Amino acid sequence: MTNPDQFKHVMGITKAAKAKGSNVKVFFTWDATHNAKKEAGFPELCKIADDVSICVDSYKNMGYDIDDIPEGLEAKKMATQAQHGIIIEDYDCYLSL
Amino acid sequence: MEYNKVCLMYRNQDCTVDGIRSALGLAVENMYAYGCVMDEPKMEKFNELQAESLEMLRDMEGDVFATTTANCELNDLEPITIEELGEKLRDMTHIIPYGIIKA
Repeated sequence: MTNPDQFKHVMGITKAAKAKGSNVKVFFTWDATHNAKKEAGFPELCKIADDVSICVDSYKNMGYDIDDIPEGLEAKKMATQAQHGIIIEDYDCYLSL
Repeated sequence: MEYNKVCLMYRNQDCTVDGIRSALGLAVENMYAYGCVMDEPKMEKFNELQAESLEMLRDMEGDVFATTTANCELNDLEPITIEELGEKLRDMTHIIPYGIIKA
């Protein structure tokens, strides 16, 4: 996800996919890393989805301190672009917002 | 083994810089990764790190294209027309609109 303004859709899609029994992994990069700090529902997304991670380099470039880990995330989920590759390799469906 | 082929389509200057890094990440994961800078105002000149990322991506058989001559000349990107891009996308397993249009 690169868009900072579509969080409600990420939540909606994640809830719908989980209701169908699917595994969901969400990766936030660049402008979308604002979601991790500014969206009140972000911690809930981390609970609902099977895996949520953000690009730590993007997070830093958006002006955040990399030691200021967003609520809901563990330090190891402040990750690299390899997370993006894992979604493409390991999941049947891919959606970019 | 079938390898994924991914094309990221960049919509603004700053997401292009991040998106090339993302393409590089996919190439490291053994995918054919490409980027295309779509029509936009002239890009800024890559710094050394950004130019290195492009070079590393090309070393891994990826590439970055641009639809405008100015962007190609400024940052040594491969020129491509919309029609050629359309043909290329037919060969991809994943097409990723990357970033949003910014004023």
